[in-house]
Amino acid sequence: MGVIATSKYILEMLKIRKRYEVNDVLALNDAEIRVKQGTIHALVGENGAGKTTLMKILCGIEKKDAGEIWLNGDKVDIRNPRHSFSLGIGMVHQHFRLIDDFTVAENVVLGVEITRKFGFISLRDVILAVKRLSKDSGLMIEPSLKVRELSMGQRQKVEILKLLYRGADIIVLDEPTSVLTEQEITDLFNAVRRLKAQGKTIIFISHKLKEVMEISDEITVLRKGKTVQTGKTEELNEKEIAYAMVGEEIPLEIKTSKGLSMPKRAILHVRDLHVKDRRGLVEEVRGISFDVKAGEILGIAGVAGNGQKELVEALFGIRKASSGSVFIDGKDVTSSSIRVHRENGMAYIPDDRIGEGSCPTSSIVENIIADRYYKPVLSNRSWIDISAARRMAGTLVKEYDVRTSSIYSTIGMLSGGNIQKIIIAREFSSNPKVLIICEPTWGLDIRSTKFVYDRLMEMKINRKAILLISSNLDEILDLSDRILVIYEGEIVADFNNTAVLTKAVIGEYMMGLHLKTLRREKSTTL
Amino acid sequence: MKKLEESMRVLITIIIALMIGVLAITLTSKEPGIAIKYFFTGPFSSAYFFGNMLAASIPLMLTGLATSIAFSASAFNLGLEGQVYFGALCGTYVAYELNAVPPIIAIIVVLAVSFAAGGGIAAISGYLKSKWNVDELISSLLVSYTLIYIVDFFLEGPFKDPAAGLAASPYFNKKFVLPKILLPSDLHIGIFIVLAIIILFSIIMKRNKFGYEVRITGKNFRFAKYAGIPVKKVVIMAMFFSGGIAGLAGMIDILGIHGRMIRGYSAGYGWNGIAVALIARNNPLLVIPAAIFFAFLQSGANVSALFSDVTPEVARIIQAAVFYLVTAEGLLFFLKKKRMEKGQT
Amino acid sequence: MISNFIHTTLVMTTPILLAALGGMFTDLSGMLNIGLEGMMLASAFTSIFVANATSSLLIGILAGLCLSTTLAAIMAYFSLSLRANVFVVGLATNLFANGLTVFLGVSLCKSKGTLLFLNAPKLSNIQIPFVKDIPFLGKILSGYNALDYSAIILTIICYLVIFHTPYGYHLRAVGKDPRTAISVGISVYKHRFLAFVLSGLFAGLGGVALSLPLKIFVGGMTNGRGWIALVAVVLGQGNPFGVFIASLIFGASSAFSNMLQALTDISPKLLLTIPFVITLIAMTVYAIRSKKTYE
Ligand SMILES: Nc1ncnc2c1ncn2[C@@H]1O[C@H](COP(=O)(O)OP(=O)(O)OP(=O)(O)O)[C@@H](O)[C@H]1O
Ligand SMILES: [Mg+2]
Repeated sequence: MGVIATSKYILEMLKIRKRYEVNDVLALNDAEIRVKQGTIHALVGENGAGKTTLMKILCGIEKKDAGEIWLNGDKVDIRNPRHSFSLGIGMVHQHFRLIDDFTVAENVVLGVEITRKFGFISLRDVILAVKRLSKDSGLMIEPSLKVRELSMGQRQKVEILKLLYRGADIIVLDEPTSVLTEQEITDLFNAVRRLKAQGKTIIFISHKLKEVMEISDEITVLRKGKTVQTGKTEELNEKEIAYAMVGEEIPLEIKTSKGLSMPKRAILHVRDLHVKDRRGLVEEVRGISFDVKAGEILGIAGVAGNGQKELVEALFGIRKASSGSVFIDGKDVTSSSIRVHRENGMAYIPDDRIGEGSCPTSSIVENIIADRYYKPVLSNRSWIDISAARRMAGTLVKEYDVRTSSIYSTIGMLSGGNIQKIIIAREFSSNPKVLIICEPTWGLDIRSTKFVYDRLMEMKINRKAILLISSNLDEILDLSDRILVIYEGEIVADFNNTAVLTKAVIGEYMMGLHLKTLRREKSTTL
Repeated sequence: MKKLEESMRVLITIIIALMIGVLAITLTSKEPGIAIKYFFTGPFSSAYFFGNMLAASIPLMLTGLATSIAFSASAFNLGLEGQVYFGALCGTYVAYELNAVPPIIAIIVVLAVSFAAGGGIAAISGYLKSKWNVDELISSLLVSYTLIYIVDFFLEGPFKDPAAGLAASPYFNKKFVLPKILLPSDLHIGIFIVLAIIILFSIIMKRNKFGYEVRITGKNFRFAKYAGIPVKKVVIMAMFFSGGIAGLAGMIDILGIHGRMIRGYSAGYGWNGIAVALIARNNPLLVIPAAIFFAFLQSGANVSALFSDVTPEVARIIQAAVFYLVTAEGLLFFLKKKRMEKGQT
Repeated sequence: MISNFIHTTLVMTTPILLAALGGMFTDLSGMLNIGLEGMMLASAFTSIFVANATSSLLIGILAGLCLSTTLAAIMAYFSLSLRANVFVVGLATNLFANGLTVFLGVSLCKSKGTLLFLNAPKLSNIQIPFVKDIPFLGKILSGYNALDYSAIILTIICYLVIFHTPYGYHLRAVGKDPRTAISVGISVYKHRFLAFVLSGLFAGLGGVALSLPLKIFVGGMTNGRGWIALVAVVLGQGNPFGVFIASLIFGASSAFSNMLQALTDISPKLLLTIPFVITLIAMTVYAIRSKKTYE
């Protein structure tokens, strides 16, 4: 096309190096990325490879220790987020950066408000501006809604609008699909393609290689802070990328055992469970009943925020159910404490690994013994047997292949995958009858995901009753024997996971499309 | 590495605080040389001053321990002043009433009563926190303000010794007063009781189930709850022990030194206990030297005021400086910078 | 009688309201300043001392604000730059101010008890023409000093600033989600620092309102008002009018306690507990009503 070399790339980041002072981690070690104008460029790598760090440097949120950034052929020194905006760079973060209590419009203009007399903000002007932008870009959303009320997909639209409002030409999306439903992912991809057609450049980070292959034009692979491969997407395949990411051959397919065992005896019984929200006003779970049998994985599919969290917390005793009952192997635990749930053989792996599933500032040992420190194996009257605790932690760390220098390391220092391994080690080793597991692979890379799936299958073969909650439909379909769909606190569908069941069908139920028909069926059977 | 940094920080805190003290003395004294000399050497110049310094450190050790127990459960007990004072009043009253009982038994009962009184008061804040999420920092302080007035009311009215010139209770049986160990100073055998309590709690926090529960609850409440730890009970119990030990701090001081309850005798024990716990980095054993250091600041200022023209209030400025500096991580910025430079080259 | 009670209530509200408005800014910025008590105390002493020495109200007030704002800036520096614990730094300020005022009182005035400043100019009460003559309402609306009136006006100004200017939006964004603020280029450091400085100014005014009208200073004369103001901040939920209402409750409880002291012979020590007990009850009721379980 006769373009001169310097303008071939809109963005070049060369030999970027970054060390985090707090924990002395070398996050980037001569990382490089070269992005062409008007393309969708995927950035992939394992957990901790440095993808987010590299993009934070581009956005002026973190400072690089060494390296160069070239933008449109000019060398730039990005000083702070504001400066990065002014250069036309914007990023949608892995965890959305929106103020829940502000409206869509207020979020979009935050930091670049329009003011009138005496420096007062004109809310009307702001709303008009956002409406116009929303129409131009095709990202339709009502500007006066509070962000708190939006779904994840809508929030993402707000994030993108925010960048467009600031005139971003390069848009970074950090794991944008991990919190979205199938439909929302399709919408997002359409929006991204439209932006590309308008001449914007997109950098796309994801762990899901299928998506990467589908949407991207070029790919850069990071491993341990180094760029190890880069090239056109059409010239690469999933296997090659996975190999580049990990540095060794790994099998991509999941060994599932759907339908292998013949589950018979139901272990977990849930009957007409109702749960209210914290303030006791709204019913979040509205009469749910189901059984989980030994050796069965029951998947619950649903868009996040449809009562899954409340359901699970009520099952485990973290919340009180307002009515209904929960039985573990015939024992009523409906209003029992969490400890009684655990002692009756229930284990739970929550989606929030740092906030709930572990104590990041405590050692591995202290995390491992949290549910059993008081039991005779680990204690003597009211004193904890320190050496027994140490032995137990050592054994489990080995058994679950946790990569750590010592069992006294604080958990917060470990990678997401290793934290999840420790939580799994604790919960699985408590020898439960019922296992509840939520979003087990959120944010995990290929290798850790595979580890989790393999262990889950082992548990199934050991005839545990497993309840799997996930917003990732692939995961639900790959692992479950039976699938329930939850919508607005009710079960709206119940499927056996046979070959004919498709994502599209489940997706429709998740969106509440078949609600009316199902309700009618219910009322006729009554 | 972390340990080293922490101790460096404490060391720097102490040095800067002392420098501020020297500065304040220099600015206000006509004979700063003499004043400073007495400030630093006074507390060690005689058995009398030395013993008094240690005696003054006894209640601080306990309030420091009390703070650190609540801190470990991530609760801020700001009501120590009131707990100390109220615990002492209850204990004194019981001591007065138990006149005829053998001393050993009386002392044990009296200490138990002040422990329960201080603890009960603090447990209210713990209860409000775990039941309705009422901020314990403010609630404990408000309760403390209220109690101080109520105790003053008793000392000025119903429980006042009419013969005393100041607002004070009558003396209780002289036999209950703890024996002195370094005459003519005030140092009494209470120091051994206190050391025993500290060692006991230090072991409990490390090895006991309750200690483990407190630590985990303090570090991540949601995790503790999820793991099955009875978190609400743990928070209330931690506040109870904290307040109880504060109550003991007040009563041991009365038993060892005053022999009766005097209005305002304990002012500052609570606040300084917080500083002591902070210097000790919440480690029960380190509370011992930290409390002695704090008592040294006060005694130094007192001795210096005796022999020169400075006011003993100078100590309060130094103590405040300790507060400002003691949690300042950034104090070691020059260390960090050096490492960063090394990392880059 | 009733109008008198309301009048006293509003007068007792002023220092609490002023300090609480200041505290509110730090609360909105996500770093509650618990050193209000100390800043009030420092300013109460300095303003009356300087006003007495210079015979100028204005210079006195400015001196008071200078000291309280300096304390606030020191706190901000320690907690933001040196990463000290913000609560501990607040406690430090309370202790420091307490020690400093006693220390200065002893060094400068040679006295530890109540300090009288008879040379200080009087902060006179302003009678609003015509309004003052309305029966009943006249007593409620008129006859306050400049600080009382400015407390009300500042409440309104704070409301406009917080909810209708970019500064207000940025401040709230910083408090609700600092990482979001950073990502859109709003400086968390700058806003928190400024919020502390504002808390120093407001709490300083609150301190002035304690000592200037009375022309006296007593060690510890704030007597928990800074803490009560903090509760008003919490109950006000980041809205200046909410803070106003909460402060009013505590003003009324102080007025009530005063009234009982004048009218009954219940021990004053017991009556002095009333504001604290009412504050504690208000805080608990608020917590129960908002039904947030402790997480
Ligand atoms: N703010 C921080 N402070 C200290 N260390 C950090 C920080 N952010 C990231 N790290 C460390 O830097 C390394 C790279 O992290 P980064 O978040 O860039 O990885 P990533 O490729 O985005 O991983 P993921 O797929 O898990 O999102 C990791 O080892 C991480 O622990
Ligand atoms: Mg990342």
